[in-house]
Amino acid sequence: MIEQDTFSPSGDLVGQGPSPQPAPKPWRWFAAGLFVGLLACVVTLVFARPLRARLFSGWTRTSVLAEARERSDLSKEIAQLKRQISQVSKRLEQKIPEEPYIVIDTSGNRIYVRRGKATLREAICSTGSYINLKTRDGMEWIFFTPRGQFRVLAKKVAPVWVKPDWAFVEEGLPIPPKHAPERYEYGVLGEYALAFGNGYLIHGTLYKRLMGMPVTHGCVRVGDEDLEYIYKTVPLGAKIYIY
Amino acid sequence: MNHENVKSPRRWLFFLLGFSVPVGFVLFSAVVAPSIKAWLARLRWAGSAAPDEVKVEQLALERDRLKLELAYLQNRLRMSSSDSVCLSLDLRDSLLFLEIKGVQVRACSLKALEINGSVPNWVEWIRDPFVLRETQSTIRKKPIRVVIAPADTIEAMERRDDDIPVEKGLVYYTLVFDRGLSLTVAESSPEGVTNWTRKLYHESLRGLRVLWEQFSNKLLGRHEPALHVYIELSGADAKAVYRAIPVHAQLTLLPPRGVL
Repeated sequence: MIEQDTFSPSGDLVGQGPSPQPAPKPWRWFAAGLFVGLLACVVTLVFARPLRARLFSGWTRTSVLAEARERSDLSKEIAQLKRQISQVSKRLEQKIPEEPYIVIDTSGNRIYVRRGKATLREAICSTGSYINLKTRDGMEWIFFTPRGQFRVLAKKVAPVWVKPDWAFVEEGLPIPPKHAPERYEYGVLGEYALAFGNGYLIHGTLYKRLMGMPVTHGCVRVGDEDLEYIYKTVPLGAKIYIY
Repeated sequence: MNHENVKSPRRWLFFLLGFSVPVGFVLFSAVVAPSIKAWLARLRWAGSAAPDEVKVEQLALERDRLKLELAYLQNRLRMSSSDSVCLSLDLRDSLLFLEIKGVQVRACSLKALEINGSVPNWVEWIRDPFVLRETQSTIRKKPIRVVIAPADTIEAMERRDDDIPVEKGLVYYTLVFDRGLSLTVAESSPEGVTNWTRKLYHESLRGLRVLWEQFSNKLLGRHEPALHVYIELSGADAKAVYRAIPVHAQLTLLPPRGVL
């Protein structure tokens, strides 16, 4: 049987004879490109270290996000700490009396009148002598000025000194009964006195030459002018800090 | 032949398309995306965050500095509930305060300051006030003088002219607190050769003690926080501080700059 070729109207050979090569599918070329691209990326990233570093310096810039977040967190924390510091500072500020108050330094024998942080007046004074007075029959006293925070409990003009037992013992005198007239002495405590508890007073003195020395029985002796200033400036109930 | 010429550009187009996917992904994620993120981050935290030029490390340092300051102030507040005289040592401004009920009744400026030892975590270490455990001093806490009462008025009259003793000795003491803190206080300018010599002697002893501790710590591998603070005050300040504080005095500390 003779094969008969068929021709298209244009005269081209159709259907018969060796068939033409099929056109390569585009996805194969795409896959090839993908593969080569991946290979290029891997080779670049694995072997070309400087290039990798340069290329991925961008990755470190993703830390900009983390950095910004951290910066934000830190800023918030700092703001909160500043608020807390301000609050605590305010609470501490409130501890400082607004009205005039007294500070007594028993070591240096100095007295200060202050308002807030300002010193209104500074003066010398005399505080407790730390003498331990002992009698032959076993009685004893230690003369010291107490330390800590106190208040002005009473303010007196022309105070009268009610002499305690030790005052008689010190002078080698017999101790009189409790309300004996010889216990009352006038004019020895100065013009004014401020009581701050347990019989302790801030008062004046006749022994001016001993001012600034630790010679008292626990009271605080102040010069006349300073005493007047203290009396007139410091109100009843004002705080007294002794150290 | 004609067929080959037509198809070739298309092939290369697909090839390039495939090639550009991984390469483009890498380029985008490495260069473009971070920039966008950074830009968005700036938008988001604009105003609330510190300026960009302030580094995170600087902010962290500032935060820790504030934490120390807060701990110091909170300790002062806590100590203010105590009736006793307390100490607050501000090494940042070289000041030592005597405080009663939160009121700073005396401020002593430090004439000299020396710090030895190491503290791994300052914020943790200074969180609570330190409590005084032990004291070594060249002066007495209470200068008590025992006086036997006169037998009669004649003896009393004879005693009236007795001199009041004046303390002239060197003021040098060490306050040992809990948690490894010790504070040595010396008067800055002692009077007389004897006092200078005594100061030198105590100084040498202190130096040897610090050296020995550092050596033994290294030898035994001890890492507990320990701080030896040496300060010099005026004689009056040094004496006033020592006489004022109670046996179990409390102290709060503000570390110096640069410890963090």
